[in-house]
Amino acid sequence: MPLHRSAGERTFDAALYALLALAAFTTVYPFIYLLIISLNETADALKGGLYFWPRKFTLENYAYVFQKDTLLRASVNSVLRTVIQTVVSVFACGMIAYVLSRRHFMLRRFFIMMLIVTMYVSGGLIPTYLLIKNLHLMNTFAVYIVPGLVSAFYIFVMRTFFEQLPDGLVESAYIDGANDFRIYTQIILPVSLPVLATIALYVAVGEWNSWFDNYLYNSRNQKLAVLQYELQKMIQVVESTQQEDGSGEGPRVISPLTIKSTLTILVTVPILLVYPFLQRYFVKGLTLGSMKD
Amino acid sequence: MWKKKKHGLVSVLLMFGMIATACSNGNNSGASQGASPTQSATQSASASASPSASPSGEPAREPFTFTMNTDNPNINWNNEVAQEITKRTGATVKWDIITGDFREKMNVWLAAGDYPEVINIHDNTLQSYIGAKAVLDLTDLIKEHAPNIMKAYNNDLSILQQPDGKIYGLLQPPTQKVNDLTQYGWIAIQSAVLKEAGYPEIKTLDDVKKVAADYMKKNPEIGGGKTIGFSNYGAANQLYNVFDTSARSYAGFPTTAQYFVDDQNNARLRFFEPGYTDFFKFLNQINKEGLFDPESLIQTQEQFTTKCSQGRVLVIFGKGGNCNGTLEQNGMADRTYVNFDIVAPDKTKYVVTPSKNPSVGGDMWLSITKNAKNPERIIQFYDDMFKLENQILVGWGIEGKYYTVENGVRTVTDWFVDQYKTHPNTFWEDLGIGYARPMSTNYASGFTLSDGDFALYSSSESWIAKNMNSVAIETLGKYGAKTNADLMLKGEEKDYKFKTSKWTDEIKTFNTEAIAEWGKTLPKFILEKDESKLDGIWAGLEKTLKGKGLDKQNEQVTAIYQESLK
Repeated sequence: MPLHRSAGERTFDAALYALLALAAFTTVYPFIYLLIISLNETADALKGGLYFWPRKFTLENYAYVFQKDTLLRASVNSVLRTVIQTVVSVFACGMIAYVLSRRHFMLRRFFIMMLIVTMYVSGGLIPTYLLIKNLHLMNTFAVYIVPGLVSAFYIFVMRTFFEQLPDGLVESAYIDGANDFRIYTQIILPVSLPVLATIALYVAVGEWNSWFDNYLYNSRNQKLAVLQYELQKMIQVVESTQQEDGSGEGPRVISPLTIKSTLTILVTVPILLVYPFLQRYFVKGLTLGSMKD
Repeated sequence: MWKKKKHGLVSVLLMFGMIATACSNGNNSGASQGASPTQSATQSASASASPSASPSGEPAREPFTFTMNTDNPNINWNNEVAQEITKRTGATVKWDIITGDFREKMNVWLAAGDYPEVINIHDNTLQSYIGAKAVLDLTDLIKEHAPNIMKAYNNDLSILQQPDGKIYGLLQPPTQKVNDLTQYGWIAIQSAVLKEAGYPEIKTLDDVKKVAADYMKKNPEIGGGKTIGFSNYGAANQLYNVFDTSARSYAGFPTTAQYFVDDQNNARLRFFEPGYTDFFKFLNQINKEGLFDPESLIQTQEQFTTKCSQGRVLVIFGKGGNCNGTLEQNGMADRTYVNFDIVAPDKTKYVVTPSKNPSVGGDMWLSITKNAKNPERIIQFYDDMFKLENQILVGWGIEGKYYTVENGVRTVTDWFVDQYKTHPNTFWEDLGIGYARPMSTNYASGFTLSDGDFALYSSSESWIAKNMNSVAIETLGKYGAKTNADLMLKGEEKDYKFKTSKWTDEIKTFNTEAIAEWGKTLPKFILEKDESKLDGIWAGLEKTLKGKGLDKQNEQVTAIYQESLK
């Protein structure tokens, strides 16, 4: 590979980088904008014209959000449900997917059909509520984990991946005397990191963002509140304050605009931090796929 | 082969066995589940209530707790007012907070039977609860246990009755006198503009135009941005709210939904009544002169607030939120808006006589559900709350601290106003003065209690005056007024009794379509360059609506209205 490149190539590269930088900027800018708004004084932010730098820098919006004592517990709950569910759900979905990927499993078609049905037909809000209630899951932490433990979609994604693995891998393990559980945990899982990372990311983001189950099932137990639910409450308060103060008279230190921006930043950053850690598995996944056969 | 088949059969049998056991387990747990919540609920109730509760006899005030829904996530029972309520009535409320979609949660609760003991409920959801027999008939409970409630309704509970003749909920009690000081006119002008002009008389739209135009000439820019004459936000359905309110107010039409009612009690869609387009013609004219902000027709509230907070908007028409608070915080208190009420010179302002009754269908009901352990005790609690001293407690808080009585008039204290200014987001909950609806007192603006004074602090002159800045006080003073309400034109009061609750779906659909067509025509009308074409444009709208059945619509609305007058 000669290091020397022609002027044309260099121009092309420069143009390419410029284009990519522009694309990256348009993607990232909305986020930067929210960050700026959240760091600006509320009344001043309403005047608009904030583009790249806060005009009147303040941390009072963050202080306002953090002054809620319920927030710490809610954050712990959110982290717990995200971590637990990610581990448990990936493991559980993977087990089902592995079983369904074995061609000699007799009820394979039956179970696949059953799972497909759940992708097209859901129970509906009220029947689901009644089910949860009759399963004694109301006002428990388990309601964050159990109903979402397995998902047909994740299972199919994983099953497809498992089916692509060479049969010899499993067969040789059988010959060496391993049972199915051992094959799953010690052979299949280690070679399936890319798909596990993908599903883990799906689950983690979904869990981190969810608040509806909290609203529906756990609203009577404050100790089980999750972060998104608490933040939802906060927005509700700020907005109702605005309504009651509809005359516009009297001061309103906090506006929904700055609070919403602050909350968006606060809930996005933690889950954003997960991506870099999983990134390498995606890259690995690509190379793994290309080297096969 | 044979072996494999046999193997399969066994596993299928096994499967069925497992499913069967799983099912029966499920059934068992379902049955036991059905009983357990009530069980635990009763346990907790008997734990909180004193065991020696005597249901009959003396109006005992032993402590008891009941659950109630709320959409206020910050509501609590720790503040002084709540403690005082508990002291006076023995009751403690355990809030069941709904965060998110209120009606949805109410319906889920209804389906599962999970609703709290007392519910604060919208009219349409209450109908579902009644249909499911989830709420109790209060008729006898009130008659037997609630003399104060009977008194508050002047011994006539008919207003609370549902079509089946039963009573499933309480509303705020009727009042004797309405004195709404929170009203304000539909044209808001910056104090700075009026000051510059030397506080001239503001009687006509031309007066407003003149002060705005003069100010704009001298100050083409404010804070680095172009000065804006007349503006407001008209995005989506705000277009109708803002522009129709302006046109209606200027023509002096009453607030009878979208219809004008004439002296013969005929109702007509007001768009084509003489004088309705006068304000739009005014906008058309000032648009050519550069005094109208054409973005008013499309901008959102956020976009408008940005302009307003920069202090660039001289005049706001059609009510809606101004930005006085933001202006003050940004050091532009001199631009504080003051509201004027203007009616076309040849028109009379008609005012709907303010209702002294609760709004049936509009206000939220207070109902006792089937889950209530002790409905008598709950109705007894509300009966206590209907006593004058408790109504004052709910509406005003603690005497001496929250308010004082000066010359026989309840007046909010400076401490109270200061709390509002320093804790604007948690003021109601921290001080416990957000209970008007759940505890049932007169919460409509300007409603008074049986002692003749205001039911709520927020209706009072002291509250309004103490929340105004010095600029607003000065400007209002120049016009001989203390509040924006003083600048309202009196007008001719008429008790229209116009209600929309009996409207058919057909009528509602037509209204929606009519407003949509109106919204298509209005921008054309205001932005038209040739003045002679204006009447033609509006006639085009009338033709379109006639084609959609305007005449029939007017007849139907009239028929329903006249029927309701009988």
